Amino acid sequence: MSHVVTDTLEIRDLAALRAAVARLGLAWSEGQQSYQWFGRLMGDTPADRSIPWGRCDHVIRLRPDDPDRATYGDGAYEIGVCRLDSGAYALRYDYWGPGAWIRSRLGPDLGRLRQEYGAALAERKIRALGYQVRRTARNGKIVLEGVRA
Amino acid sequence: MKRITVTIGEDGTATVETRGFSGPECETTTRDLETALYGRPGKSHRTPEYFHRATIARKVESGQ
Repeated sequence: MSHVVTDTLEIRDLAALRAAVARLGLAWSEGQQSYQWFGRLMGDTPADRSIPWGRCDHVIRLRPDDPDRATYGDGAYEIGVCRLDSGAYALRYDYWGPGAWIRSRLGPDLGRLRQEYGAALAERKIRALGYQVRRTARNGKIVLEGVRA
Repeated sequence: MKRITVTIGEDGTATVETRGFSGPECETTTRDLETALYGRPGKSHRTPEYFHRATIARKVESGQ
């Protein structure tokens, strides 16, 4: 089975994405040209057949020592970071079977990754404006407070 | 003391709040942050502090 998704989030800052991936305890594989998925479209879910599924420019995956490896082993699916014609990057993945960790860890719409990516973008920008930044968590939200005299 | 607070929800949506700014600097800082987050400025809401400071500034300019 294949249940493939190209996420609506357009990534424009790879450094912020790498920071978000590290925060979430996942691994970044720079320059990896393919990501693990079922391998072919089965037609059981809507999928854009013009997309070169499985091909990418970088990969987000489980770390070798990640507890989810006990369940999925080396066959755990991965998230492809795919460069678009616009210069932005899209995230593509297969959430079926060995890809189930992606939604269980990051949320159905990769919400936790969106959250950490946004936090990384904001933190970098606040620091660039000359502020000291303190990060806290509040009711599931990330709060960044920048202070400048 | 100038403060910027960015709150990012579990779905990635963010809100930007500023304190201690006067007038346009508040808007330019908020716009810079929104552009960094979304690629474009979002809808900004001026705090009462903005209007208070701006009103004082206008009074000073007009000699009131």
